[in-house]
Amino acid sequence: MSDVARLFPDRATDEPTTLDEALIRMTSAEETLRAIGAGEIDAFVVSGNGHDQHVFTLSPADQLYRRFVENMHDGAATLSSTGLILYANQRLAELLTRSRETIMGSPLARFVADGDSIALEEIRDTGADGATVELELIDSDGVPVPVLVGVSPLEIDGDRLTCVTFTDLSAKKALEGQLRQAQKMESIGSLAGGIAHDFNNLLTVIRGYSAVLMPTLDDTKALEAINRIDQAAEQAANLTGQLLAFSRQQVLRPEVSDVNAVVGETLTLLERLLGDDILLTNRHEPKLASILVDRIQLGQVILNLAVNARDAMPDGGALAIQTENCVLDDTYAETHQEVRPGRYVLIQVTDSGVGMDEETCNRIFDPFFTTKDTGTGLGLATVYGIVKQSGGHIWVYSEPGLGTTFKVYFPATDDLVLPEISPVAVGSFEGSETILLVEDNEAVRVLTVKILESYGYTVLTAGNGHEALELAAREPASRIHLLLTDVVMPLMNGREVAEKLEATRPELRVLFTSGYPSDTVVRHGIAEARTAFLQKPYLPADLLRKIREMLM
Amino acid sequence: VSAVTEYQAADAEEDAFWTLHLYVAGPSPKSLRAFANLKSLCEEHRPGQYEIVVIDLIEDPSRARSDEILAIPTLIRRLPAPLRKIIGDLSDTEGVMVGLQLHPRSSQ
Repeated sequence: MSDVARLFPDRATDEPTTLDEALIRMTSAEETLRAIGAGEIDAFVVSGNGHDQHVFTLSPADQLYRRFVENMHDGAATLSSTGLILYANQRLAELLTRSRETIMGSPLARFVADGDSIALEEIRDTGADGATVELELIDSDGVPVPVLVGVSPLEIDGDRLTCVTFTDLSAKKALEGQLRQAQKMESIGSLAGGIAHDFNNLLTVIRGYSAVLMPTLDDTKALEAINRIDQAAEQAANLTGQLLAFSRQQVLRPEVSDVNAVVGETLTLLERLLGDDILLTNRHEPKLASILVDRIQLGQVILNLAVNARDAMPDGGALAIQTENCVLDDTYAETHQEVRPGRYVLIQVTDSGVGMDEETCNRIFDPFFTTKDTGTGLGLATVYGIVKQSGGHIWVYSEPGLGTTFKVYFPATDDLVLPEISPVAVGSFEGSETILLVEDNEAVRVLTVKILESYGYTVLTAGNGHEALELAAREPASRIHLLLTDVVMPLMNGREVAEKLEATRPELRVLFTSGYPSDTVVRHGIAEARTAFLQKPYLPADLLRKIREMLM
Repeated sequence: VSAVTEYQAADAEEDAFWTLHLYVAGPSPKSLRAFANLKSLCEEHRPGQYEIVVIDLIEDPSRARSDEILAIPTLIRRLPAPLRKIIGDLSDTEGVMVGLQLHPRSSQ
């Protein structure tokens, strides 16, 4: 404990002389020898040939482990018995966004969210076997960083130390959150789809009989009443339609589409919907890749997002719609649930409105969740369903007061856009052909027979697939012109009935109908020329028109 | 009444800010111990009036040159002047107090 100041107190602040320097070196050497003798040293600095300096630790085995600790992707620290950080590796400094110098010497509690005393106690009191604890660190910006802490106590020369490692759980937590959200949407979707299916059968009957009844009534009051019933049923049908869209179970007619064209068409419609106080800008990439999507539904997506943006700007503002080509790479896919790497087309809708907090953002796609006084809570749920069913992704970015951005990604395709084929004009609904009707719901079956027969058709009816096959076996192939079948039925579904009949009747036209279209129809049925699909609930006129189109 | 021995900074003003450089060899046991000892000493005697800069010579051995560091751990009191150097893990509290010029003081 000696130095020049102690030996010559009066000369301590003077300029050092050669003698002083010699004394300093001497006392320093004495001091070093004393420290070595007392076992207080475990490393030396040695000068090499070219003035290079190297540190030699007395235990070379440490060097190996030190290399591991310095290069590992987890944070690491050594704590004193009182919880002070005596040593921290570079990774821990990165996790805390602070320099190692500020971390070392500080209590660990300073960097733990709310000083989480239970977790800290657990770290301190961990026995020889070690333990793992989950807690949140706080970085220099106050952002919580979830970590898994591995604790391992260590005793060196009577000092009780604790070695801790910190594994960053941010990415894992974010993915878990996304997965939970996806699962929630999936289960709400199945529920909503199931309800919509049953409702659609009921609505087909209500709207069907209203339509059958109307021309027979002379009483204006009765007509008025029937009209109101039909209008209410129509509104209900719109609701179930949106529910089906959300549950990704509506029938999509994907075509190779030019997004810019769809955006352009939608904008014409939008200009009328947005007030004068909203500035609408459209920036589109001229050489935008094509995507495979149902154009009408894509228009619906853009419209719903724009209307949502409008409602977020009661005092006016700016709405920007932008399209661009982009590539979502492996890194993006790893951090975003359900995303496959590849080329995408991005449609971005940004408003300068009121924005949303995180809690609202998390629920924004839930059906019946609304922040508006007049909303149904189905607009964005519909958007979500359409995007997901089309193989796309949608993300929302928002902060209160800072507006909202929706980013919608659709996989790009190399296929070319085909010109639209205009629908065939149908003159009269009357027909004389024979139709085999397969429908398990009795009310719908009775109604359908009534409608078809009143327009001249001959109808053979079956309540299930087996009945239908038996019935068909007794008829010559040429006599059945069209099979009208429900899709979801017990024992044998509509698709199977159609396949069995088509085997012996290659000319047979098939019209599927369902309130709950199954994947079999969506995937295989739509593209074929002799088959079509009619979504329940349908009006008698819809059914008759479709049949005429198919038999022409 | 027995006399209680306390320590106080004798050669520096009471409120002088201390700048201490501790040269270590990464998380070597003696380095860790020196740091823990220094920290508790400062907290006890100079709370809020000190700064410890830990210099890891394994990371940058060339930094040993300026203060002519030979053995690790070594503590340098850089401020207030004069510069003081203490070698070892600082477990001899009494010795360290003397080395840092924290003289014992008698009070009632």
